[in-house]
Amino acid sequence: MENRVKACRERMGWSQGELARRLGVSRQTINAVETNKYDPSLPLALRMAKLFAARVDQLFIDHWTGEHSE
Amino acid sequence: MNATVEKKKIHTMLWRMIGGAVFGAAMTGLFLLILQPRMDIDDPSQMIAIIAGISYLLIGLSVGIGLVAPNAGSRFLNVEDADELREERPKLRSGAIACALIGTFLLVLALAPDGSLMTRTVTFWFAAACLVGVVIASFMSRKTDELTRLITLEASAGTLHIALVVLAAWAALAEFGYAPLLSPLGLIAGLAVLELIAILAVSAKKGLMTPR
Repeated sequence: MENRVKACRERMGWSQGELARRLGVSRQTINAVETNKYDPSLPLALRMAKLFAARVDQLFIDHWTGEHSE
Repeated sequence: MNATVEKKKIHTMLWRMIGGAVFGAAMTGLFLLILQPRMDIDDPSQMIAIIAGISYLLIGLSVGIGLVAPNAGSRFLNVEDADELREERPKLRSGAIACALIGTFLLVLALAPDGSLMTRTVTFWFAAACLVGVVIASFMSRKTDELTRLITLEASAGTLHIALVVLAAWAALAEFGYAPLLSPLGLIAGLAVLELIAILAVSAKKGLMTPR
């Protein structure tokens, strides 16, 4: 799943370490999310959205379009 | 700019891989040289336990050295900088201790139960102390973040699935006399090796092996 976490973090002027500290996770977790290697849990996604003052669907982009996706 | 960064990352990754391989091979060679008089190459259980023990001990020592000297550690451990090692110290410390103790436990049981190194009673209690230490260190590192928990969970599930297949094949072969019998030590050491491989594979899948 694509996400805009890196763009949002850079807009806030935070390092990966700073964001990790604010969210209570490791830097590796932030790095894995930003590089699309790991989709965070719902609580973490919600916390990220809250921190960036964005909606979850603005932060994480799912290209699934329902039954017509095929 | 991006191409330069990518090239640098690949360079770093290659050097870390080569360095890790050389260090691992040198240390394994050294261990095997020291342990050779006590080794029985015809005993597969002992050999698996020795290989697993050395692997775990080396990983534990590498992380431990990285934590004691974060500036040096940031060069051979896959972290962004020395500060990341300092931030993650509590989690990594218990992980390093657990790895070193698992390695020691396997090596002690593989090499010392005949009483030639230390008495059987001392060997037994030493191994038991290592095992208690592993449980305590694992308990201490339970407050990890969600990515680490997921990796542990996926690796454990993967280990179980692979173990079932490997053990089923081994059991079938052993029943017909085509494979040697494994002792309980060989079984637990084999599981430890599978768990280690599974953790590395899942970590790589989640991008944790990619240079930062």
